[in-house]
Amino acid sequence: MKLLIPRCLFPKIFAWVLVLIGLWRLVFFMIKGTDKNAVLNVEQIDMIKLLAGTVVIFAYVILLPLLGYLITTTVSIFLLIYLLGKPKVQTALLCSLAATVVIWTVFDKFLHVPLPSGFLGIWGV
Amino acid sequence: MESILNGVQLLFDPSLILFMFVGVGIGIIVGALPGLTDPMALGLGIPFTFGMEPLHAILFLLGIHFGALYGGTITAITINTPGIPAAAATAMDGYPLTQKGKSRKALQMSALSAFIGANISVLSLVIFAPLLGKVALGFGPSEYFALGLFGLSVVAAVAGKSLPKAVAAAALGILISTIGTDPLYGAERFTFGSFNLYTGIDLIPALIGLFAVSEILAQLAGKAREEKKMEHRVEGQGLTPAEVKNSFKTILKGGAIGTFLGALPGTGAVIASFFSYNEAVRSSKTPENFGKGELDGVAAAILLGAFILHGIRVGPDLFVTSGNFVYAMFIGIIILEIMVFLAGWYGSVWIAKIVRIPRHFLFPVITVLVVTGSFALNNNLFNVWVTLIFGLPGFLMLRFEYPLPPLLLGIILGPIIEKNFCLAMSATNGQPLQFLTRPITAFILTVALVSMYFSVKIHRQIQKGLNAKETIS
Repeated sequence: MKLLIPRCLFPKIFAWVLVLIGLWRLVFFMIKGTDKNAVLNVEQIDMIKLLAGTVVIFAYVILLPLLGYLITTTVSIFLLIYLLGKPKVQTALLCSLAATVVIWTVFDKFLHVPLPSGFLGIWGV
Repeated sequence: MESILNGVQLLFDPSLILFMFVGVGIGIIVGALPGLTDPMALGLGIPFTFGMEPLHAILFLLGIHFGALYGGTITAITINTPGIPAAAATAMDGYPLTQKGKSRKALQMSALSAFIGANISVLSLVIFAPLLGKVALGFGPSEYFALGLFGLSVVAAVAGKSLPKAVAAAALGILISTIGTDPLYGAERFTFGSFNLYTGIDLIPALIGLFAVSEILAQLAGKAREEKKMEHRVEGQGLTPAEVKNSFKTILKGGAIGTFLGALPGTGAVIASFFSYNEAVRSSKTPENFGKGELDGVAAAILLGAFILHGIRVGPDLFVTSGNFVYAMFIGIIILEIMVFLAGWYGSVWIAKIVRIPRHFLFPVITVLVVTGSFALNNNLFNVWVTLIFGLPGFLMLRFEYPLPPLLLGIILGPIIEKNFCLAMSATNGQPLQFLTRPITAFILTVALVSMYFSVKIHRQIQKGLNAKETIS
């Protein structure tokens, strides 16, 4: 039986649009020279901070179900504060603790979102 | 008339007024913080609305939206950093006033014009909305398909510097929207066997990733980001009655243009904001600040997502299916604008003081809010991963100057276009030309072509402005 619309018509159309634009840009810049915006200027990026921050964020989500929301969130905020600035340890610690408790209270207690409790769950936290 | 009275009745709820007040407060503060945008605030605000009644939720989010729009003008006026492109025009005239020690006047004028403009828009909608509702009753799949295409027709206007990049971003958005089950045959597409992907990618986590995670990564990447000293100065005398009277005509004219263009269906708001955006770019001395995409249209898209999330059927027949709700929302918008106006008129000094939060404290907290908010959408970590994964292309797209709004347009409009195209093809037995025999479809498609023409024209003017700037520098 002939189909009214070919299977996967939309993904195929737009995948081809992407391929054609890619080819067009490639040919265009081969003729006209490189687009300065098409090259990632690594010198303008603090790669170490970016990679460290990305690792902290991904580790936070991976460890969330294991260690629980309260521990992982406090540690992540603390580490990110230190990556972005250099405040006093006490200030950073206080800020991470306060932010964690406020966000946890709002989501877990007021909005009844069952945030992961991790191993602390065995004590009913 | 009965719907309007019922709508007013729905607003007689102290908790509703409280939520609106809180929304406006959050919005103004977020909007006034450079680096934080209206879409980001809305995306993060949505998880907080889960337990709310639909009207409470929508007005809370609208409060954030209107508050953030005004908040954006505070930074535009006091430190010459427009939070959103729409506020760029405000910065052009507002910042020189700050330099002359007249920032209070500029802030009050900004609050007044926003208030009057919103009232004109809402009043016009109350008058014309029932007519729109009647037309919408005749809408079938081919009309919705045409409306979807109309929405896509503004891609050139949201293109920023490069049209091919914008088309690529929109195509990528539509491709992402095809993840999940095929609407006609039920076949799985790009699901890789994961049941989480059967229903496709949720809009909200994708959006939080694109706009919030990308900004967090940009802050971490550091060096290239220009850091402005946040010395908000609010000084001088307030507006005098004579000054208000002199500006009244201009404000009314602006409000009328905004209402007419913003009332267009689909992404009319994007076009409306672009007419002023285009004008701002044309006459701006700093066009390099533009071309980053219009965030106002994105905010409209997020609010659309919130409507759907709270079970409100969105479309031109909204006035028929949820009349009371819509009128309550309209009157709510006027109340919200009064709140924003009062906050702007009397509270700008305090707002400017509140927003002096160092970014090394702000962005870690936002990171946690991003993760927690995405988790709260379905109470699972899948959405958190979607958010984080979307953040990476979002960051790279910003770095390589690919505009994000077309990508979002593609994600939102892709399913509407595909589903209604399939339904319309089934109805016409596979004859797409038969779509054109339906007058409303033919009309919308014609308007889409006109809109496409104008959006390409706007894009060319933006590019011309940018090229002129490059030549000067």
